Amino acid sequence: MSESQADSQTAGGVFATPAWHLPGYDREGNLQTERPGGPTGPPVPRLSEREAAAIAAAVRAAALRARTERSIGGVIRAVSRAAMRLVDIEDSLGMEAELHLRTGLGWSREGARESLRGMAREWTEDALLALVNSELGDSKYLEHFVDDSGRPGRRRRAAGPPLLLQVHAGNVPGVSVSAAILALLARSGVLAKSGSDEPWLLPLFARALAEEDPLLGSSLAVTWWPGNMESHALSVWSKESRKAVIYGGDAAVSALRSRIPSNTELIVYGPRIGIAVFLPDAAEEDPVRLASDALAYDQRGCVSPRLVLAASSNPMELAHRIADALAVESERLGAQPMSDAEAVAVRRARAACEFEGMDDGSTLVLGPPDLAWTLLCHRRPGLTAETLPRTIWLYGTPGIEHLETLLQPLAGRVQAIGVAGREGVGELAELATRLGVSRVCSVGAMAWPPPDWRQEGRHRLLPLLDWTDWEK
Amino acid sequence: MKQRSRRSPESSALEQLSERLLSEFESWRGECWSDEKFEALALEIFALQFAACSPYRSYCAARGASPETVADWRRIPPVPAEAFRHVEFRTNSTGRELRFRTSGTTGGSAARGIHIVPEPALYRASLRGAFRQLVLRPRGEGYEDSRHETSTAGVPLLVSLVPRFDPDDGSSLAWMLDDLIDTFGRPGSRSVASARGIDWSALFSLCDAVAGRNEAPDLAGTPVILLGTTLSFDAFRDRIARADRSWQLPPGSILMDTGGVKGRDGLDRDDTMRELLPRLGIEPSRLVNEFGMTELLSQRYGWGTGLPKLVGPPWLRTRVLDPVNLEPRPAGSEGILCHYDLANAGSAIGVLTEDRGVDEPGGIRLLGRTPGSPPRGCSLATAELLRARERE
Repeated sequence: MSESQADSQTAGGVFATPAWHLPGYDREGNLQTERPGGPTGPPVPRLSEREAAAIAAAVRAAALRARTERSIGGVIRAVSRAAMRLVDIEDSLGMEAELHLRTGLGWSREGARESLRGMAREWTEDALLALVNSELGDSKYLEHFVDDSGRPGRRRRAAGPPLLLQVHAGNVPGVSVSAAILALLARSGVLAKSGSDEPWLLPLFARALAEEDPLLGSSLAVTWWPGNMESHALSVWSKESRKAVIYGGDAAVSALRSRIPSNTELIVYGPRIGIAVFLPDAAEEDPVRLASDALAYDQRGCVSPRLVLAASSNPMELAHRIADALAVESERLGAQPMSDAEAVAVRRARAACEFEGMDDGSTLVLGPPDLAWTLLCHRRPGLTAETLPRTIWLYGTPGIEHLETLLQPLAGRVQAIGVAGREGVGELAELATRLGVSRVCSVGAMAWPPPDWRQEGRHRLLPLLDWTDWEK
Repeated sequence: MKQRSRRSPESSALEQLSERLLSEFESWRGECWSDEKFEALALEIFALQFAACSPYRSYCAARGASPETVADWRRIPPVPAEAFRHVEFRTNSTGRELRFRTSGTTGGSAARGIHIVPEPALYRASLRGAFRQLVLRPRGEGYEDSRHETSTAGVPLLVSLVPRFDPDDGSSLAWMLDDLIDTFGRPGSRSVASARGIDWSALFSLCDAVAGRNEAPDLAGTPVILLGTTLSFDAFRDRIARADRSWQLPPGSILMDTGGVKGRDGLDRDDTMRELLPRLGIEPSRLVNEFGMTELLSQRYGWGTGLPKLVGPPWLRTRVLDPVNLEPRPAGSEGILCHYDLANAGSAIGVLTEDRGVDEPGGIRLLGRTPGSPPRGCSLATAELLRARERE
């Protein structure tokens, strides 16, 4: 084993699993890796065009073979078992997964475990089967042609493309694993680029899957490259894939669109915001529930509440109760890291809020000096919020009848509305349909959507599938 | 006397303090100040600002800081530079005040901030004292204020590539360069820029004159001090290259640029100077970088190319802090810069910036503005979306 190979396989001696999983990749023992993301980035091999094509061919062959040799039930069992190993702290892969979140993202042990446990709710066999059935009605469509009860003589089958490209962003850790599972359920071979913030979980899942079921393990390839770097993997894999699932902000998606062939169908998941609305009859415990939602996954999720609209007579009093809850939840989860750039941005936001209302007392900044969390309160209505770590913007609003006008600029970009209180929930749900909000729930449930939730208002599995009707 | 008796005690105290500071600044000849001297003045200013400036008092009170609780100048709460966009820090009204406006380059709020200078004389004294000692004297020329000279022999020609001060624009840099020209320049010193841009032919003509190439023999051989932003010097470099001109500016000439380390517009200061200095006949050792900001009334200067070590007068002290907890970073470690400037006696003595820097023996190295924090996870920044909608 060469020195670079040893380095890549241990990532500095700490981890056993490399940051890639590439079926069909063979350098005949002469494996060379580099760190294209700099010294702190993951070591990955630089793929030539020929190698990227060989990997795509191997993944395609394995996925097509699995279509005939594995039942959908078998796939569900295998992917679930593999994914659940990442949550098992007795399992070496589970230990490694937790260690990656702690060393890579700087999360506390509690924060890392809670995050993985939260994601695992959608990785169980029951949850996966429920998801398939809720979207297709019958999981057998993914296995063979099924008689159409509504039209005698017609049979139907659904399958994703033989190869599906996935480009991940710095999402909530584990989202990449869920996405790969969905593609495998669609019977596609997966060619994936992992996210920059957390490039390790998906290769770990791939390794677990290869141990669980080598054929399915060969149906998934994953590596990483910097988003701004020309990559043979991207150019070759995007040509080979009929569909591509892309996670990322507007700029990143726009840049990718220009590098992916126009006949490749793009399924884009862009950034969204979670909003909590406190109605006048909100319960005493709702601030605690909100704090739990906000600090879960280090507030990285598109459902994480970042904006709180307080339709109460005294938003500042509510703010103090939320702050108390954030202090307790933050203490429970332990210290989370913050870069210098993030700290500077949080300080700027705090200063802007504090000085903006200094004359009339219309603003209030709550949060500890070490920036562990921040609550920026405005007595007047507003919508401005940044994606800063553990930072919430709270605005007073005279009543829910004003919310439609207020929220109009965010139409189509709100992922979830968490509601505290009962009176007016119906109106809020109706408003959500007009604004294109994909989920209305109680505060306390925002960060943990059910597995069959229609993210961004659409099915999760169906967009990956193509249907074939066979009329006899 | 009647008018004076109506003034608040803080106002009178500030005037007296300003007079003492003015005397200190004007008489400074490069000596170090003891910690005790700096601290005594800093705490005195803090007490005055706490008493006279209501927003600052509120800010300090929220942090449990007051003249009774703060006994160390390092514990005086610095105001974030962002605060100047929202609040006017002012300890008194003199009727002579200057109003400087920030450039609005900092992220976040689009509004430009305002720095009110109730006592311009204090600013002048700080500027001149430091410039004389840190820019003119170290090069051994023995330049003095031109107004004290009986003849113009040896007095440099100061030429600015920045438009003269316009109160509506409120550029502190323009005001500063104007004052340097008026104070240290020989007759003929001027700005060659206006709101329409730089008058290149005028600048070329002045270079010709001091290099003895045109019909202005009285300027021939006069050392010149070129003043401007790094960006303006890059434009100068481009102009000279296109015109294929070069000069041998007289011995003693200096090029002083401000900015250049923020990486704006892809500008590389060293690249610019590598090409420009030989065309002017100026040695790299006679290149000086000025660091200033609208929110501060004192400046730092650093000689040479690369990232020069910036040195300031003893009434300006800079701390390198961890942005998370505002505790000091170890010497030699990178952090954000927090300045304590006694010349800011009329506004806010401590200013917390978003600039990154390192404290090294012999000066502060400025590493540029802290980059914007990258988006986290898949959460949306509504601020960005709202701004985009506003632009549509």
